[in-house]
Amino acid sequence: MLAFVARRLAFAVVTVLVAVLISFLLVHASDTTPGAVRLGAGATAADIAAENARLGWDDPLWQQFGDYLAQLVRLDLGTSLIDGRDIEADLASRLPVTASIAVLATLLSGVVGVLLGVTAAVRGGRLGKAISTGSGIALSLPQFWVGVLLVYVLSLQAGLLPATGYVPFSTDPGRWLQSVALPVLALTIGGAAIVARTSAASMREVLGAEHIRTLRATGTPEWRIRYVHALRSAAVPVVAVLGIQFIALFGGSVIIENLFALPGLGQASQAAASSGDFPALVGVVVVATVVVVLVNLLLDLVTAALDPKVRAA
Amino acid sequence: MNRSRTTTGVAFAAVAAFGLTACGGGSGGGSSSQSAEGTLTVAFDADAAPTGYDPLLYSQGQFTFFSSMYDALWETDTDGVSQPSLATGYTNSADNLQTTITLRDDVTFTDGSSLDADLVKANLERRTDADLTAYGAFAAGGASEITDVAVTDPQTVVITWAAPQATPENTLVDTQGTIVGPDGVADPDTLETTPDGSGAYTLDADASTRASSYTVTKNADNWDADSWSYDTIVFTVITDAQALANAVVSGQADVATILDPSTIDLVESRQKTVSVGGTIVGFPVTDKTGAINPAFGNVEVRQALIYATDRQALVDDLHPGARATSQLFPEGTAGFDAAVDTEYAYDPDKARQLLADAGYPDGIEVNLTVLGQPDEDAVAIQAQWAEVGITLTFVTATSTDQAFAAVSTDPILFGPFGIGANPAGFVAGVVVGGFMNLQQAQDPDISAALGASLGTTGDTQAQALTQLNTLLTERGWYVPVYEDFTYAGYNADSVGEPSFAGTNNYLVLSAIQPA
Repeated sequence: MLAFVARRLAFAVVTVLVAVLISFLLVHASDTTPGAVRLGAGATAADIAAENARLGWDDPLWQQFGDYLAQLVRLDLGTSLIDGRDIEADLASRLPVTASIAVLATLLSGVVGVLLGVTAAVRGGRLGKAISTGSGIALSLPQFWVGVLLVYVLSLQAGLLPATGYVPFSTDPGRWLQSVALPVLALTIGGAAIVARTSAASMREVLGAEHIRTLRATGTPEWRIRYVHALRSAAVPVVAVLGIQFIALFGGSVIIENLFALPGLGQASQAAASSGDFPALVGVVVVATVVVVLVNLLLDLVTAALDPKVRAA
Repeated sequence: MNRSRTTTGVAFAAVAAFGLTACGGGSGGGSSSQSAEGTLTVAFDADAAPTGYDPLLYSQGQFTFFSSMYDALWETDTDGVSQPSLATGYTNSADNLQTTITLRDDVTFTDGSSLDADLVKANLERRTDADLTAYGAFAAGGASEITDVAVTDPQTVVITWAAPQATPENTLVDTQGTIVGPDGVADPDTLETTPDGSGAYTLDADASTRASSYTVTKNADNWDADSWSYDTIVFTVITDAQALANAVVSGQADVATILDPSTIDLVESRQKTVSVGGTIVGFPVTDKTGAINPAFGNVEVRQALIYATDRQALVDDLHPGARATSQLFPEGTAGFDAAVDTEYAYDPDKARQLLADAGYPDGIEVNLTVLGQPDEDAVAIQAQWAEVGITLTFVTATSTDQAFAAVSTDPILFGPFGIGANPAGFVAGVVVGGFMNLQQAQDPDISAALGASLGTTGDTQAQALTQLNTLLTERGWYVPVYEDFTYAGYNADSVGEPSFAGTNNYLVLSAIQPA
């Protein structure tokens, strides 16, 4: 197990490095420079050149990359070209917003999806078909549209939940939950549908496997067969789907954050990209990559714990 | 089998529990305002401080935000009248070339220093900084060029103008008249992260997230603290038009501005709105010398754009409620002349003739930079112009930096411009002395009319304003399309009706009161 963890850790570090390198090279391939961004449209070419030199933009690429990596090791993401703000502090305040929505939506998708999927597989019949059809419909609904619909029904019409904004957990846990409820629900509907379909298919397959028949033959209680033995085996693909789900939710937060006016990483990346704020943009990429890699690592470990074959691979 | 039923039940219970828990906390979900404890929440459709807290980097429209942390020499009230703020009054010389301003003596800045004449002088000396949008008219060559600022005593400053300024209170007002504290003036880079003003509120940096929300808290010791109603003001940035409307409808914002016209019905169905005209949508001609596109050096070509634009059709099809216009000055302002709309109405034959007279019988090609997709107005006008031989090509900017740079790379721009209650000031600071004229093109007639508009009063000024307005269309310095209305939504349960600064399209923040 230790060797497995070491391999995954090494892979995680390499993944982060590659992501940083790619974003670094993309920034350098753009048709503008940090000096031009910092000084604005009215700056002369000479002023821009001088600013670029001051910022180290003219140094060899390998040197700039090395400097940036050294900066990252010190957990320093630099300052914004636009307004000089500390990027690390800015992203630290935004990370909980995106993370709380992505984590809650993933967890809720997992719980609801597994419950529905297992029910569909175990009960079958009309209920199973209804769950299958319902999840198919839910899968085809765009998240943005679901969000708009939820806002209209639960906020504008019923007045139950706030339509926009974010309240930090530390300020008021109750209002925090209110503020993330609609975005989480909007993301959960599609997410739970994917998990339900995956868990239903996986559960059906496992319930027909030889070792399950053997357990039945030995007189193992049916509930234990279903919810301990079969569910454990069926959980491996579900965990993989949840991992992908989290990555998709975390990386694709721009639309939902705009719809609900949430001050998260998606909003920061949009602002950084549109203003050419290179350090802020690379900072978002770094933070997002680290989070995704860490979650992947966690899921790998969970999968390994569930399935000994994975550890041996 | 019972277990399975239980599983299904748990699944639905989980969803229900989440919803109920979410609904149960706090004080009643989204239907209640957050302003119950002395907090006013104002939602903006764009970031009010995208490049930091130097108010002079911005135009008048941002004064709603900056007025919480900064004071100006004069500030526009809800009737559109300039009222003394940091200034207590002024006298003009007989020729209107010198203005002597007296200052308050009880004003303190966030850096601990006091307002005096030296500080006002230091502020106005920054007019040489080309990045300061607010000072475009004060810089050399500007229509309200300041040639000298002298300190005669600690509370008196004398400003010398290059051309007569009969109503300096309309020039040194709101953003243009904002005074930054000594630390900010000495090192403007510090303003990127730290405001330095004398306003009734100070920024709570810990409770603010750049481009998302800004929280300011009241300084009870401020000289003007009693004029403000709220202990805390939260400014939120909601760039999605629908989300902005949702915020005021469901109570997360007490006031939301600027509402997109498509959301007005929604807001008015549950809350209330206020509106003001004064926004002229159109094409500023940035290349009046022909340096970018030689065709634009001909006044006939620029006039052809005006005659080729079917404004009324565009308003009828896309903007019911707006007003088609061929002039820069909004209806109701001094200088507005209905005859200009008639004289420069849609006439495609005349547009073709003008192009031919200018030597372009086969038409011209025009580039227009857009950020993302061109809006529906630009697309409609593209088709109208094509009928007379003007080929409008959209160039997609990949960054806001590139979009802003279009003032130097394209012959025209397109967008809504808040002209407001003082069109001459807008012409001085933006059309002639600002980003719409980076080429510093000169037209003696326009300069003379602008000078008279700023340097005279009464009937003489009224005539000069009318002439200035007419000339801007006649010389093709601006291609107006329609006058739009600016809407703000408000939660009538929590705040009284907010007011715009006269016909300016920004709200008077200090005038917002609890319901």
